[in-house]
Amino acid sequence: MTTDFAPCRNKPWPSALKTIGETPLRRRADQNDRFATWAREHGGAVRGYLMAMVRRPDVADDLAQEVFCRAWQARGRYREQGNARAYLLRIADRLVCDRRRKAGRELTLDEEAWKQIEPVSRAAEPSGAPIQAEAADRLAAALDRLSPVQRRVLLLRYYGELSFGEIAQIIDCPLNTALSHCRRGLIAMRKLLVESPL
Amino acid sequence: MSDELDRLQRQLERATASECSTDGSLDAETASLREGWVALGELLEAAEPSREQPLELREPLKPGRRTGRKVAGIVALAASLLVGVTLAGKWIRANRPGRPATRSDASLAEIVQADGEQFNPDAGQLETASLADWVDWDDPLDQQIASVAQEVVRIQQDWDQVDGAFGPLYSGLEEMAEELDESPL
Repeated sequence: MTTDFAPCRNKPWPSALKTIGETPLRRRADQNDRFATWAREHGGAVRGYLMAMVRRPDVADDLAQEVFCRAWQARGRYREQGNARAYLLRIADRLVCDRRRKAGRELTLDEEAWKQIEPVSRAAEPSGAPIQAEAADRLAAALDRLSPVQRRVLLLRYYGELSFGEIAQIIDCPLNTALSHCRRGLIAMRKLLVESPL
Repeated sequence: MSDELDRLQRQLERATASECSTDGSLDAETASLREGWVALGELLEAAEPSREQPLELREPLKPGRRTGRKVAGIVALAASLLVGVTLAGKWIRANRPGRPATRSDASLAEIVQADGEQFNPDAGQLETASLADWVDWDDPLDQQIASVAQEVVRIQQDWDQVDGAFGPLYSGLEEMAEELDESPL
C-alpha cells in the first residue's frame, strides 16, 4: 500500500539534506558575512559622518554602534540595491536628527550657544594631536556657518560619495532643493576657508 | 527648467567628485565651487583622519527574536517565582507552630451549650471562666498566660462576692447616719 508520504520518504538523502540545509543556515552565514563587510568597508565613513555632525567622539562611537545594530535588526527587510553605504548613512542621519529632536535643541543655534549646550569633548581625542585639535576647532567653526541641511548634504556627499538623488532621498527633499543646498554650502565654504581663512 | 537642473547637477558632481581633475576642463564657476569642496575635504581629513578605518563593533549582534525570547523567559520565570512565594507564604502561615489547636466546631457548639445551661447569673459566675476548658494550648508560655487570666477572673469573682456580703452592713450604717442627721437632738 502506497501512502502520500512515499515520495518524500523515497527522496535521496543528499538531496533532502541539501534542501533543508540551504535555507536558514546559509542565509544566516550570508548575513554575517555581509555585516562583516559593511563594518569593514563603511564603518569609518559612518563614524566620520556622525563625528562631523555631533562633534563628540564618544557620542559618534555610540551612534555608529547603534547604526549597525539597527541595520542588523532590520536585516530581514533589507533588499540589496547596490549601495549599502547609502543605506547605513540614511540610518545614521536619522539617528542624528532623532538625537537632536529628543534633546530639544533648535538647529538655528549660533556658535556660542551651541558650545555652551554641548561643548566639544577633548577627553576622548587622542593625545599628542594639537594639529588635529586645531583642525577640529576650525572645522567646527566652518560647519557652524552652514545651515543644518547644507551641512547634511555636504557631509553625505563627502563621506558617502552618494549621488545627489540618494542625498535628496535621505534628507527627504526634491532633487533641485538638495542641489541648491549643496551649491550654497560650497560657496560658503569657499568664502570661509579660501577667501578669508579662519 | 529641466536642462538647468541637469546642468547644475553635472556641475556639482564635477565640483564634488572624489577624483580631482587637474586637466583644466572645469569652467570658472565649477572651479570656484571645487575650491570650497577641496578646502572642506582637507579640513575634514585633518580633523578626523580615520575616515577609512574599519569600525569595530563592540558587542556581538544578536537577533531581536532571540532577545524577545529571552525577555519572555525572564518574565515567565519571575511570574512563577511570585506564584511560588505566595503559595509558600500561605502554607507557612497555615502551619505556623504555636498556633492554638482548637477543637472542631461541633464540639465547640456542645461546650457552649453546656456552659449556657450551667450559667447562673445570680451566683455571679462569668462565662469567660470556662474559656480554658475548651482551648488547649500546646505552647507552655501560652498555657501560663491562660492560667494567669483564669486567676485574675477568679479574684475578680471573689471580690464581687466579698463586696456583696458587706453590702447590707453598709446600707444599715447609712440608714443610721441619715436618722441621726434628721433627729433633733
